[in-house]
Amino acid sequence: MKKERNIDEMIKAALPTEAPSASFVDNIMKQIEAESNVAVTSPRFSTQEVIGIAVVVVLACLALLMAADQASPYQALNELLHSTILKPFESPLYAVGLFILSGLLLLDKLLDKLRLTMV
Amino acid sequence: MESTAELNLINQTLKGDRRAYRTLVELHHLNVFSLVMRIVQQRELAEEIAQDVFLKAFRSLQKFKGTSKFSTWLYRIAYSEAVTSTRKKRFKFEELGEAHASVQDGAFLFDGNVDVEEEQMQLLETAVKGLKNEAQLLLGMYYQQDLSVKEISEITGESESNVKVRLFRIRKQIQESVGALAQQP
Repeated sequence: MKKERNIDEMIKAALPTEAPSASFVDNIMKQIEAESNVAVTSPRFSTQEVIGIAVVVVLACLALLMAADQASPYQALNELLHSTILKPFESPLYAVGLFILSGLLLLDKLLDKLRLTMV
Repeated sequence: MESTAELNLINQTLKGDRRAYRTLVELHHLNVFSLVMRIVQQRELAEEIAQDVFLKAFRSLQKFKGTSKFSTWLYRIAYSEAVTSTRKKRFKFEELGEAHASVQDGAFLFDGNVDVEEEQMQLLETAVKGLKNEAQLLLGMYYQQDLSVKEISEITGESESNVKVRLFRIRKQIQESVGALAQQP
């Protein structure tokens, strides 16, 4: 007995089809779940945490300086600022370094601009 | 363009709903597996690659802009992963000869309905099974994955006219094979 069939359907039906194992979809979802858990537990600090840690470190440094020099909190803070931020400015080498660095940054910007103009 | 339901599933997935992604996997896993299987020809490897395809798609779902169908985007990843696993840059299609320019738009299509007997259907199945991997891959993309010539061209890197010519030749080959098989006692 003959029946009418669309040739596209026939080809589709004639193509061999193979299905993956029954656990295929579950395995994918398990891996996604596992990846998400790793992402959640990975040690990433938020901005607040970073600021918090920085404050604790500064306070610890102040406490150490105060303990070592028997100084007041103001003196300790002054010394900390001076030794970490202000002292390097006293050195001419530091000024030269800064000059070179700013020169390089300026040159980089100029090159970028030049590249854009050429495009 | 994307169906609204599928776009909703994608959006839900992006918001963290993993059940939505599970539905997407369930919708496409058979086609992705078939496509990969036709390239790598090893069941276990195909399963491993197909799983990687869905993981990769999940990780880069934010990059999916909806300019093409989700399925096309997914098959592009699948094709690329499968071909890479075979350590080739591209799936090796046979060189095309002279008939290239003579194929008109739509000429590669099978037209209309035909009267078939069960026996002829079996002949057709045998003929299709006897085709080379690359031919089965193209037929699968066109008939099973329901991709257009343009989409197949985007996925495989072959030009649209090449895809048309190949489909045209495969059709001819099937017709010849069915004829030859029918003549056998």
